[in-house]
Amino acid sequence: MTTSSIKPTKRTFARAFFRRHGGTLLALAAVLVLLAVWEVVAVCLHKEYMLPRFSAVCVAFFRLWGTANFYRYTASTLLRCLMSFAIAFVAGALFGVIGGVFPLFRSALKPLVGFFRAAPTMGLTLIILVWLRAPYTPVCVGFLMVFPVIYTTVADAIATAPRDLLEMAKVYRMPMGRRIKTIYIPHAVPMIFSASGTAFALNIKATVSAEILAHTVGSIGVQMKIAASDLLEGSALLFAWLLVAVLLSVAVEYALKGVQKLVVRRYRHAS
Amino acid sequence: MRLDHISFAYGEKRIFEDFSLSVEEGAITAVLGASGVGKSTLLRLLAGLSAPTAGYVPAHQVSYLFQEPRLLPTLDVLHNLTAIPAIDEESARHWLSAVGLEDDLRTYPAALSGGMAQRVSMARAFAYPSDLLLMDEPFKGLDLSLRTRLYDVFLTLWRERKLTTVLVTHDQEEAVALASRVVVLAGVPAEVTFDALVSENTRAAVSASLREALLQV
Repeated sequence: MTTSSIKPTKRTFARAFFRRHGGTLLALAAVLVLLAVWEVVAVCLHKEYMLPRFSAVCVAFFRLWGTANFYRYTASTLLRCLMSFAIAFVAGALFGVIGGVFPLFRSALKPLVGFFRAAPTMGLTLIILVWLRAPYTPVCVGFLMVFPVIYTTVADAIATAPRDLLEMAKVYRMPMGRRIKTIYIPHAVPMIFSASGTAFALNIKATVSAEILAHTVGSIGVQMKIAASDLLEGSALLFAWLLVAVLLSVAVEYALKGVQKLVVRRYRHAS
Repeated sequence: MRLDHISFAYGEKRIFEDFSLSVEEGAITAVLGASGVGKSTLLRLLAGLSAPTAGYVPAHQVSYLFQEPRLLPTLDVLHNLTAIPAIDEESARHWLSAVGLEDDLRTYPAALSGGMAQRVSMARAFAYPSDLLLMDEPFKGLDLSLRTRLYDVFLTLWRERKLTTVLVTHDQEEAVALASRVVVLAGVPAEVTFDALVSENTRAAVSASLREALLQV
């Protein structure tokens, strides 16, 4: 092989860069196109209360960042989401393990879980609002969104654990603790993290909706409601709060991906 | 070691009906036969992975060389052996060294070639304090030169422990090269249609009659 054939060129660098970051660049380009379309439609429509210009939303968004209450409201909604997520995660994982091991238990729980999966969020929120005090409603609704996702994922992960490895473990009489550590958990972790990202996005949606309906004091939901009641001033502020909720969801999803990498790496070394 | 009058069925399909087979201790018995005749089922019954509907399968501490290496993906080579409580680190190092993997103890299964992974599986089978070794076509799918090398590795390890071994294979050359007895299963439910002892002197003759027996299956 000659030296020139292995010398990296600009073209090979560009290829390697696109191979690695092509997906991200494409997603970024799609967002830019979407924002450009938004701007054009808003200018053409010229009705601020229906569709504000993206630039106006940006101004409203950055103005929000300067207010002290912004952090309070965002933190309060995030805390509610994290609370409901944590409770649902623990309960879903626990019930999922039982459901994965005992198919009868899984069959018994199937109609209930199916009901919570299919029931309209608004309907559930209204019922819970009747049963519970308003401050607890968003947490409860968030729980009902996350629990079925985590429960089903954990139960599936256990039921679909690699049979060949389980047979090997049985032949060589590996204790259950080691089977859980070396077979079940490595199989389940990627599935659970992937489901957690979806569940958290659902959780934020449902929690903010519940905050709107329950009029939860000091929350993103109520701020949206206030912004929506003043549409004559334009809907830029409403869109800005919507952007906050979306960014919150994206940030948590990225944080979960980071935690997943950390867990997988640490787990590999620990076990 | 003897299987006594066992019966087993998958749904309506009877695999064994009042089937008996004795296996000589400290020797390798090769079992051949058409696909689906019950060779792997026989091993599963011996390993306790399936239970017979009737008859008696003696309980044994069993090592199993599966067709695939079945290594734990999150553990390195050494820990794939020591994850089994009955295998201590000293024994694991000894057997891994015997299969030529002493420099790959910290390698993870994803980074191993097919032959290396099967050698880890082999080391695990010999490191485990068993009194019966079951082999379910462990050399299937490997190229000829790798297979020949693995035969040598296997026979070296086997001579050290002289484990009672049941080898299931489709390859008649593999059977007569490794085993001291060759058995052919055929029919539904399965029966022994060929049974011969193999030695240096009889290898060629057994190979020829085994070919005949397999052609009739």
